[in-house]
Amino acid sequence: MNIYSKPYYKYYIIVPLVLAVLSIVLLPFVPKGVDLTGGTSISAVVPNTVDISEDQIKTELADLGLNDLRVSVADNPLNNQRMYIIEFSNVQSELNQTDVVSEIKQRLSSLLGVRVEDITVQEIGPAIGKSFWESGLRAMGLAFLFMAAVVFLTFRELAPSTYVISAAILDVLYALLGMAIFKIPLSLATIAALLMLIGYSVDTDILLTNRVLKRIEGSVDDRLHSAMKTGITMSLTTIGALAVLVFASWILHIQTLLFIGATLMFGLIGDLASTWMMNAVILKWWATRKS
Amino acid sequence: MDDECGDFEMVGNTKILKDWRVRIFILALIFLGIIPLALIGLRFGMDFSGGSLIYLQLEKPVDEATMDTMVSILQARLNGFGLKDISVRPVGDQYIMVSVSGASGSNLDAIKDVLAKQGKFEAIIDGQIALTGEDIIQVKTDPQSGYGWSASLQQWRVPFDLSGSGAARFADVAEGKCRKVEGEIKCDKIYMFIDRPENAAILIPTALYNKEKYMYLVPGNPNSGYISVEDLEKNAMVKIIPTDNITNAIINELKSANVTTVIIPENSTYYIELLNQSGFQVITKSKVGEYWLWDATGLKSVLNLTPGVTSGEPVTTAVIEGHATSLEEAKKEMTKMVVILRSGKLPVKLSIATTMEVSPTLGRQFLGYVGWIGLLAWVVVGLIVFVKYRHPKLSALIMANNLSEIIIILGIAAIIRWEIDLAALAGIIAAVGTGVDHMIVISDEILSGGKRKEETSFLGRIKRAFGIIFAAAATTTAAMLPLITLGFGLMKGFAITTLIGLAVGVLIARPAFARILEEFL
Repeated sequence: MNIYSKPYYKYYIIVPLVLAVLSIVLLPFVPKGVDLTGGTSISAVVPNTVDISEDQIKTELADLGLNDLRVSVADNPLNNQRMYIIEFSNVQSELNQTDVVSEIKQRLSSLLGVRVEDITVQEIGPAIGKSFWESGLRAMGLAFLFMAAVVFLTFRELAPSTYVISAAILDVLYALLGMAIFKIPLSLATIAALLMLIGYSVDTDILLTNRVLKRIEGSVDDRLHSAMKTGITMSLTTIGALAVLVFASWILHIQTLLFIGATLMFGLIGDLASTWMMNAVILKWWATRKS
Repeated sequence: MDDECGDFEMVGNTKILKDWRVRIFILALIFLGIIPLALIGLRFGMDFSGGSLIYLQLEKPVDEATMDTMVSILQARLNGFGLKDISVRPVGDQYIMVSVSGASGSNLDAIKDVLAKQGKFEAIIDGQIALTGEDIIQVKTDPQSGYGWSASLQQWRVPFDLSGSGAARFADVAEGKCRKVEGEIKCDKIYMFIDRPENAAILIPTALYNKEKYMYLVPGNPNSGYISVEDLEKNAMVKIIPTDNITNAIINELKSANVTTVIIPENSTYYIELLNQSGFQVITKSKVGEYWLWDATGLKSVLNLTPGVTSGEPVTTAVIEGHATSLEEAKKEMTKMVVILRSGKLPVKLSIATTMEVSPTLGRQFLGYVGWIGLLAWVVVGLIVFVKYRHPKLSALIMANNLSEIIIILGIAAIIRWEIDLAALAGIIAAVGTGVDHMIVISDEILSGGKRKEETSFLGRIKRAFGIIFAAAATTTAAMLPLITLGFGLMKGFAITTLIGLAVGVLIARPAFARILEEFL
């Protein structure tokens, strides 16, 4: 069954557009990670026989003057471990950050029965956070520019190249939508994933445009259909591998990999809509008009 | 490797081994992949080995020379701290990265303390402080002021300016420190310390004590003069206690001497709990230089006074001279001296911008997990391909090609000594993902050709497939380039492994794949 031969094919485009609007609406809800805002994150892994609640930890640390204190607990069913993550934006100004952090380590150590050296700390100064954020935005801008240049050079035709680049913009928006819904913070790691997505998600669009523009066999509909078969197989293998990565790193609390994997996965799932329900549809319309 | 052999047998003919694309691929697998992995091995970054990263921010951007000075001063101070595997590197013109592998707990807090504070330089004569970092106004490093090495005299000179009060104190302390003994002039020594511990005592096992009882000024050369443990004890103003056990008598001795910090060597057999319980701060220092006691006290250099400076007359321009037989040797000595003299005053203020610590136990656990995740993802990709094409040979070929690509990426990482961290592994996964995509494009182009052979030649289809692959790889490469500089280059690993993976894939692995596929279809 060729979905591009249906008379209502133009209406497919509603799906990616609605998703895009939704992404823009939810954009402010994408959280920013400690490395972009500045702040401190302390984590400890303990056997899950340790039964201390988030509130107990908050009470224990209440007198240390920590601003925006957040405590979270996650279990790892595979190895019977539990991970505590304590985050705060800064300490009250009259206190010394280094002293406070080592005090927190001491208290967690006795409370959770974990060695001080097994506690992991990440501290990011607010100025650095800001400069990371700016360099992140700059990197995204450059990545788009470079990618767009390659696309134009490849097809040397304005309209189809523009469609490919629009699809990439949508893919990044969809990734951000997923991040907003699942509370995945924008961080250096997820910005890296977004850059990857900018370059990688257009692979299907390149395949599509190449088949439609450069192939001579079959009708436009046939070419669209065969491109879709290849493209969806491509996407499915990658999404499958990413699903394994996301699931496993979620269970095992490997945050960096979880966030990178999930961001890429959201973007590539969204890419199915932006490529096959938008780019393909516009391309058919363009090719029909041209001939 | 077994998979590879399997594939060639499936093809059922050895003609394919003569194809240059396949040969390059096999050679790459062996020489870029297997051999480097076996011989050099992988280096794992902080994510897996544990350790700490500290980023220091300078008050303002500085030029290269100032940055070099900052880095060498910090290096000298941290070396004195007695930690191995510590590296100090500039990042751009305003940041300095300090990485410590494996350090933990109180040591790390102490390192942060050292970094956040100004350095403490002291020159001590006969147990009295003659100069501090505050007294040194300027260290001159231009030849016009006399800095440099004279080949004819075989002598190097480092001149520096002292403040009025510094010159007065020095003159006072140094006065009369050269005496005529049996017709020969004998002068006291001047001891230079960086970050000398205060209110501290050193516990030293007797074996080590006996080894370092007399410390030659030029290691291994008895004619260069020596200092004894007693000399050091007096001038470093610390108690040095040789003992193999911590007894109550020692605890009491430490307490009565108002000691707050106890310094012990790495890997000592002391029962540290006893010291902790008595309220002492215990600092473990490892041996970095020739003598452990020098590292433990922060002693950097010992020089002989000359009669000229012991008259009691204050002088605001001073010079340190030394003997060196080659320019290279002189340069080393002069740089060392400049760093010591400047250590008390960093040219630019700095603050700790960010720190990241990873516990070594957690890191090792991660590595095992990631291995299993990779394996699982690899199998899942193989299954999806099999379900789609129902073609076991094709699935096996794709999986084998993929595995070889991972081996080559890791091998190249080993060759360029790239540290594998979590971001780098994410990059490998991404590169492998694109690799599978490319192989699907090739397979579809070749397989779909069956019924329309008359329209486009086999070669034409392969060419078209590679057109798509090259464009796809080029966009990914283009988009990943900015990642190299993102956030101090913390995500560089991601970019580097992806870029290596794309290059290996498009240039080496895919052409071979297409050739093999063509042969057995």
